[in-house]
Amino acid sequence: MSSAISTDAAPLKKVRARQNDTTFHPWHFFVLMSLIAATVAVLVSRNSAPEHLVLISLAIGAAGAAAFAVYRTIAPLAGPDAVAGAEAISEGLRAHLEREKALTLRSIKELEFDRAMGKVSQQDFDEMARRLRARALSLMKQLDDGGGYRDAIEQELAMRMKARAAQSGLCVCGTRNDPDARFCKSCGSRLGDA
Amino acid sequence: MAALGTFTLLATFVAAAYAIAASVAGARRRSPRLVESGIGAFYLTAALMTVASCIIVHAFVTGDFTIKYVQHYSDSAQPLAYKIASYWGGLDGSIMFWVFLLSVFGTVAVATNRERHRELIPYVVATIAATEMFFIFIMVVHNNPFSTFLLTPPAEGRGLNPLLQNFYMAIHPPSLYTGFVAMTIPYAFGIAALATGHLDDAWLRAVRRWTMIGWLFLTFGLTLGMLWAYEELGWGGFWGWDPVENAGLLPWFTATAFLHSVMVQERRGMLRVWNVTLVIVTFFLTIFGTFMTRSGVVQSVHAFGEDRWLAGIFTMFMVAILVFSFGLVVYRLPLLKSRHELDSWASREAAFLANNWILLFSAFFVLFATMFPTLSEAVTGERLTVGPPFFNTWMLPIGLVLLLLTGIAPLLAWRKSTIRNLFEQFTWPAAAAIVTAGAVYALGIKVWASLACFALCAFVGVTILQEFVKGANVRRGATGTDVFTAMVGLVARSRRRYGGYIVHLGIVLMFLGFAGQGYKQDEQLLLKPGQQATIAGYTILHNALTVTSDQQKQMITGDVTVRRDGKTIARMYPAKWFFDRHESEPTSEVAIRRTPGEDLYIVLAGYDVSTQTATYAITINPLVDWIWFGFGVLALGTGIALLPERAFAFATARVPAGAATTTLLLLLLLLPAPVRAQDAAQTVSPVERSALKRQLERELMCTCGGCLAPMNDCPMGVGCHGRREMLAKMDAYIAQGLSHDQIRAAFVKEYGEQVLTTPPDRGFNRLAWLLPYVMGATGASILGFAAWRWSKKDGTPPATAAVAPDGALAERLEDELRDLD
Repeated sequence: MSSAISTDAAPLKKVRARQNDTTFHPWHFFVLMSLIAATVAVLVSRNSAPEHLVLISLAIGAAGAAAFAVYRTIAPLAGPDAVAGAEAISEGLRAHLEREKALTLRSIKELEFDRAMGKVSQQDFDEMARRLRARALSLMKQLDDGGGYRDAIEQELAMRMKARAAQSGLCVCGTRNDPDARFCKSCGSRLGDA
Repeated sequence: MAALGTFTLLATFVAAAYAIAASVAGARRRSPRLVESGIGAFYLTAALMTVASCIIVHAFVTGDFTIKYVQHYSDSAQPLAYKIASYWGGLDGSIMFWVFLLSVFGTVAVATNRERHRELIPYVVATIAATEMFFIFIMVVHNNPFSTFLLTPPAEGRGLNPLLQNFYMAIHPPSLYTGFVAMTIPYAFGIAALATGHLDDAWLRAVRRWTMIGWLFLTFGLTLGMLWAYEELGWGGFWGWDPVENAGLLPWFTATAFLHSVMVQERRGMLRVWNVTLVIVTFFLTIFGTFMTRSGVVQSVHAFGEDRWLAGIFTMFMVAILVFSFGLVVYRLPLLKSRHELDSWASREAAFLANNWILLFSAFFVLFATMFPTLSEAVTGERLTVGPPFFNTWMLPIGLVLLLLTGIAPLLAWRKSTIRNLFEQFTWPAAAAIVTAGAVYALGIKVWASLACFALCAFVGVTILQEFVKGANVRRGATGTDVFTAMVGLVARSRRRYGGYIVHLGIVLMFLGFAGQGYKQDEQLLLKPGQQATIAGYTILHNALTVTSDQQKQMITGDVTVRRDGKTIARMYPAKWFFDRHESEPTSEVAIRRTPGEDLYIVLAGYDVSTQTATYAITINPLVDWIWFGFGVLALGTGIALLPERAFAFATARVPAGAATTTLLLLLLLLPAPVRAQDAAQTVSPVERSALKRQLERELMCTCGGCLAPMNDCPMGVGCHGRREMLAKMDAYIAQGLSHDQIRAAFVKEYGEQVLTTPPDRGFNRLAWLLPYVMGATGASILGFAAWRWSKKDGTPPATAAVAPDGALAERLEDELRDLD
């Protein structure tokens, strides 16, 4: 469920950022412009039926939204490209096991409820509950054996540090080399092995 | 303005194309910049379509008749609401409205799911934008709603089709479109999941939610369509198996099937390929429905007319959808593999399988029967009719079986129900069913279908009640609160389960209304002023006939006093309206007196102004209002099921609002009509119609060419020229003493076989009778085979026995289970 955690935190941060934010935003500009344009249009309009004026204002509002969308389309292209694939890599097997486990736990709950509702006999319940619990236990064990998140994160971290070290030319001995150097100029060890 | 509109459409096309290119390229190159830009362009399409919509509505409101579409579908005298509704009153505008809704829905879907399903969004954007592009392409090339007159434009518009100038018709198409359009979103998510290979349960959650929203709107649209037919077409019924209504029903069946089978995947991880297939088929059927309505391949009351170019381009699009989608499914088959196991036939999985089989059968049967006239024309050269009787023969038992399953399935447990316990569960419901059947029979209703339906309604109703009560008791035991709190807690804790039960309750109420149709009564009265007649306890007194007119139309209104047991209960005014420039197609303004028990439904079928004589077609429709009320309950249930697990409330605000409005509407309609006392009058009896004549009217199509309905259902009623001619002939044949078969043969000889409401059972047409059996049997055998294979234990679950008892681990399991509450 790593993805759930990582994605849920993002909107929260955004909301907080929005609350503290009093600066001028691009969309303010577009809202302002459409309000001005709508006011002008209503003032100069020859036809003064209310539905006409409402529609004109709506159209101008929509045009303002369109202008903002154009900005929204172009702006990301001008900005810096964030590092892609920065999210934690959850290997397929692990996700699969987690899913299986969640399914099994929910099944147990469901089964207990059905038993309480009198839909399943005690004998069937015992048999099925035992099987389900055994499966849940085995899945938990597999998950534990396969290394927790911590291990995955450690591995990931080690891999990235290695990659960065290789890129920046930093040697294990602490000497900074040229970015394209293959061997350390101080101790002679192969760079990127650390 | 027209030029600006056309330009906006072109700009939308470009923006959609850019959205596809940028988001797919961004996803492939893993560049968030490009993806963001693509999403921006996607929002842009929605904004541009809003601008275009404002322009066309503005043109309608100000009466800009230089635009052909505006001239064709509105006039200056129309009320403002219908001027706005004219936007979707014709082919070109309805396509534009479709794109508008799709872009808005897409924007909402993308904006709400952008963080949650980051990896899917680029492909979601691309899929929706591609669908938009297809429809915009049609508009730009072929059906531009902004095209103008080259020469002098006419000074006045032609006016919207009078049949569409009705409150329900103004909101029925938008809600049906909304349902159709909302089905695009689950499809887009499905395609995105297939394209990226992120086929875990996360995408399923988004898809289920959107399917539910789409399903709700579809149901709303279908119900409104029924209301419209009931109120405006004036033949006393509400569902005539019209191809266009069927088009809305097809995706409803598959979406319902999906909403059920998705649970099997969530609980058991089974049926993954099947669920993806259902999502694809549902979307395909929405496009197919649009195609049927707009290309003129089927004849219908409200199709838009024949158009070969459209038929061609739609066919290409549909083939492309199928090839692309199922190509992706095949490509991703290895990822979609799942372990199937069926512990027992008496399990909820098995019940869901049966439910899917029946729903899919219904979808394909309706599709087949709707397309059969076209098919037979292509093969034999003669266009046949597949009328309501043919549909009813099949759909009646299917509906009843489905209702039965609605009752049985919730009582079954997942995996395996214990048979002895099952009997205990069924005691009360079965008893209720038997008692109800007996009581209804004693009341004098001897139609077997209605009897069975009532019994099943009681059965399902009691099972639902039992589920609530037992669940509340269990929860009360667990939490120690009172029954009511426990009930609320129960619904709050598993909203989907109990929301689903409430939806079932709504369906049961609707079925009550359908059951009432089995014993409705219809009579015709020819009355002079001051004459009266008695039908089913109602005394109908004809007072007068008035002719009035307003800016838009001429109105002929009948004035009727209705009495029951000597007391005046209502004064009713059925009317015929003749809209200017549409004089040849008068609309029936039905007078309806609604009560929970039955509706008194009066249509002014014929009139003679000089003698003030009126012919009234009177229908007693039992229980019909429960259909509309049932929808209110259903919407409420869906609203509960849709309630977000966390604060995610974009859908909730809308859904209960719909429910409340519908209920409110119904209550308003139930208000008693003004009552006035009246003198006694001369009594006459209803126009005599023998049983033979009634049977023949059911079996023969009206040949007027406009209604496509059996003679007894022709909305034009007594005034219909085709029907009048046929009735005269029929009377002559009956007077000659010909038998039923001889009269049928005589009509077939004169009008061809298309005069029959059901295709004759021979030659190529035997296929129509044979194929449903074949489809049903094939489906059943595939299902049976799959279930048989899954129920064979192919090895124990992995590593079950290998785990040694581990105290710490078991404790953690208990902890996690407790946390799950």
